[in-house]
Order: sequence, then C-alpha cells, then structure tokens
Amino acid sequence: MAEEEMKKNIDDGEINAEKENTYAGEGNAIDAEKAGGIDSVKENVDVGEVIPKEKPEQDNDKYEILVRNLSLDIKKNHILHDISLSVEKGEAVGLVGQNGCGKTVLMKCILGWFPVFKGEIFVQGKKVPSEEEFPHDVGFIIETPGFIPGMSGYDNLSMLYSLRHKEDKERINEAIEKVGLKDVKNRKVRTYSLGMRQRLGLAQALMEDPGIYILDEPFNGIDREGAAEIRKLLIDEKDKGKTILLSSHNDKDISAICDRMIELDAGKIIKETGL
Amino acid sequence: MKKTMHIAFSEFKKWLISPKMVLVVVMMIFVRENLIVPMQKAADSMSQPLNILEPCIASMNSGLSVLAILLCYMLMIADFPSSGGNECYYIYRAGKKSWAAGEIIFMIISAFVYLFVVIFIIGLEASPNGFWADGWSIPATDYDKSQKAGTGFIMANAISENIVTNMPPFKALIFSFFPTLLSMMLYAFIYLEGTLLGHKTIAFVIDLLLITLGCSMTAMNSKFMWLLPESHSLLQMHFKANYREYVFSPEASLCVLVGLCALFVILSAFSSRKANLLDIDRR
Repeated sequence: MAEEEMKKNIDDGEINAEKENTYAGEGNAIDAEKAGGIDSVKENVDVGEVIPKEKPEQDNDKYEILVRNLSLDIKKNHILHDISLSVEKGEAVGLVGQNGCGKTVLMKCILGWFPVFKGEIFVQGKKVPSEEEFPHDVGFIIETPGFIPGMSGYDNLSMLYSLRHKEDKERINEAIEKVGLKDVKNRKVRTYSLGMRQRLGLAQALMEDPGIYILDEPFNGIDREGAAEIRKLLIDEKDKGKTILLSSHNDKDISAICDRMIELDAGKIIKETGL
Repeated sequence: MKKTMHIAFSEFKKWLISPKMVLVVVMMIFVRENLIVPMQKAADSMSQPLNILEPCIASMNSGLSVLAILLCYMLMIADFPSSGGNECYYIYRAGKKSWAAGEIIFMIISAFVYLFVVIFIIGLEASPNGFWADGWSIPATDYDKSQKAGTGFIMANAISENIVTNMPPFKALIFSFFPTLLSMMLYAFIYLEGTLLGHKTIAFVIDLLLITLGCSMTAMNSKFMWLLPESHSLLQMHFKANYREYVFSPEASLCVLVGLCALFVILSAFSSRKANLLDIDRR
C-alpha cells in the first residue's frame, strides 16, 4: 500500500516536473531512491567518479558542486534529464557536447538562474536556490558577456565590483592585467572586439577571487595566442586550488585544463572520461 | 539598500545614454507645434501674455499632448529591464530582491526626471512672453469668448474651463503633475511585472492599450473612463465647468493611482523571486 502511494507520488512528480521545486521541499526523485525504485548507480560512465544515487545528506558538503538527479523542462521540452555530477575542490571538469545539448542550461541551473527544476543542486554545501539564491563564491561567464557599451572596460568592472565591496582599484587592475586588457582598459567597450569582450568577461569573473569558476565557452572569439594565454591563466587558477567547471567546443582547451570531461547529449550525460 | 540604489542609478545611467533619448526631442517638437505655439499665437492676438504655468498645465491635460508624453516615455523604458547587457552580473551580485527594488526605484526616478524635464522645458519656452503669478491669464479665461465659434484654435482644448473655474494655476500644476507622474509610474510597473512574468511584449501592448483607450474614453467623456488610470491623471475630467462641481475628487484619484502603483510594486517583489531573470528578454 505504501509502495503504491510512493509510486503515485513519483508519477505525479514526473507529470509536474516543471512545477517541481527543489526549494519547496524534497524532490520526488529522492523519494523514489528511498523506495529503491530507480537504479542506484549512474550508467555510461567510463572513468572518473561515480555518483551513487543513494547519498547521505552529509555528502553535500564534500563537493564544491554537487548536482543530483537534475531534470528541467522548459515549455514541455526536456532540456535536462536526470543529470548527476560532482566536482571536488581544486578539480577542473569540462563539459562537452553539441550545440543545444544542455551545457549552458546546466551551468545556469548550478548558478541559480532557474528557480524551478527537479532534483537537487548544492554549491559549497548550500542548496541552490533555497539556501542560497545565487552561490556567492562563484565567478562566471555565461554565453557572450555583455557590458555597458558607452562605458570603459575599467568602469564597467568597477561598477560591478562596488556592488559587493568597496572599490579596490588594485584588484580590478590586476584582473584586467591578467586577461591582457591593460592597454585598452580606458577605452569604451563599444570599441572592443568580441575577443576583448570575452576577456573582459573573464576579468569580471576573476576580479573577486572566487573559489569556483563556471565558464561557458570562455575561448569564444579569442585568437589562438589569446586562447593559450587564457588556458595558462585558468591552469594557474586551478593550481591555486580553485574549482573550475568549463564548457568548450575545443577538446584541446578541455584536455589542457581539466581533470575530467563530461559529455552531454540531448540533456543527458552520456560519457564521463578522466583526462 | 546600497545595492538597490546602485542598481537603480546604473539603470538610470544606461537610460540617460540610450540613443532613444532622441525621442524626447521629437516629442517636444510635436507638443510645441501643436500646443505651445497655438497658445502663444492666441495670446499675441489678444496682445496679452500667458501665465508661464499655463502651457505646462495644458501639456498634461490636452489629449494629444498627454498621449505623446506617455507613449514617448513607454518607448524610452521599453528596453528596461534587460538581460542583454551586463544585467546578469548585476543580478548575480545584488540578488533578485535588491535588483527588483532597484528596477522599481529606477522606474520612479526615470518617470520623475522625464516629466520634470519636459514640463520645465515647456515652461522655459513660454517664459520670454509670459508672466509668473498664481492667477489665470486673460487669454486663458477670455480667448474663446472673443473668437467666433468654429474659427481656429480653441483655448479650452488646451486649458479647460473646468480647471480655470475650479482652482488657481499653481494648484492645477501640482494636481496635474503628480497624477500624470503616478500614471507613468503605474504603466512602468505594469511593464516590469509583465517582464518578470516572462511576458514583456504582452505587457507593453497592455500598456499601450490602457493609454490609448484611456485617452479615447476621456475624449468621449464615457462614464467607464474612471475604470482606466488615464482619466484619473487628467485634472480637467474631475470637474464640471461650475465652481466646485466635482465629478470625481482629484485627491481620491491620487489615492487610486498610489494604490495601483503599490499593488504592482508588491506583485513585482513577489514575481522577482520566482522569475528566471537571465531570460527576461527572450519571452
């Protein structure tokens, strides 16, 4: 009888996947796991860490990023389907896959942009978005970074920086220098090329010295020489113990920076490879 | 609060440097040619000056001019809020609540600055041949009587007899400015709420419908006009031509507009918590 009730709950959960809300309560997937109704281990894993589905709650703190059974439907389209992944502190993980496979949406979910989804996301042990609306200690680039075109690169960063902190010219200049925009920092952003805007986006992610970087196509529009500089910069950050979740179409970038590579297809993880 | 004000002023800065500012110039030329110049010509024909406040009051009570001022404002804020620029970085750092509050404050500041500047410029234009006093000018009170019916400009279309009979110019200016400001804020808040709900285009169309329907209904003097915010912002609709013969109290209209604004502020605060703010432009 209890099992029947549990099954009914699971079915209701699937029908209302879009309405399901992680911060409204525990997801039905978790209930299903407790009932033993779902396979206990993720399939199609080559190498790398396997995430058991029956996880005790204390594991949430073990990982910098922990995604458990994440599913997301937008307008009845299945965008993400039962994604589970974890990233440990100091680890760099690459997300690869064709356009539209769900890399960017997955990153947006981890960053807290989607308030409604099925499953659970923990960043630095805090459940997103119920415990933390947006994870605090994360620097990110999502798609092509946008800035106020009529303002200089420096002023754009300064406005963003002063939202959380007292203005720190040294910090901002250091980030600008790291991404190679020192000579053009006072030029208006409207005069920047796509690659320069991308670098400014990276400076924006770096300037607050976060513990985690979530970078969606950070090499987009950057020339070969510039890409090598950015690769080196990200490797340096990783060596400092920073956690990186990176998506790119270029395997060379992923293999140079990342410890593991996760391949997505049609919103599902199809392969996980150690590098 | 610091984050909220930071968001509001950064939006305001973006708004000020927006290319859409050119619309204000176009709108001002329209209002000048259709309202201020005819009023001044009427005054010149009587060899009497206008009160500087009269063109200002007229601009907030004459149907076409009100329509132009409101539509221009709506077009100017149509790009706000947006997720296309650096907005995602702001929202991320400030949080949804502070961001939504910042947007609301931006709407209030932009509406106030816009209307104040428009009225100030109209006042400046009228000032070389005008006088400054808390009393109506002779052209405002007697021009229509001195003209043959059906010939040329009608002063009552600019400043209605309803206003002239019922209150002095300074009070009329106050009771025209604040309801117009509140109605602009209301349209902006409706637009913000629609944006947060993911229906930016629909919200914009609803605003345009409210403005045009409101103006049309007041022009027809329909009894249903009080259901729309526009009639509450037009001072002349509140009176009949006889002294103190109220159709609707101007103070009550202010309360209605404040109440509606407050309602949409609360709705926006709730909607911002559930909205996917990264994609607000795409729906």
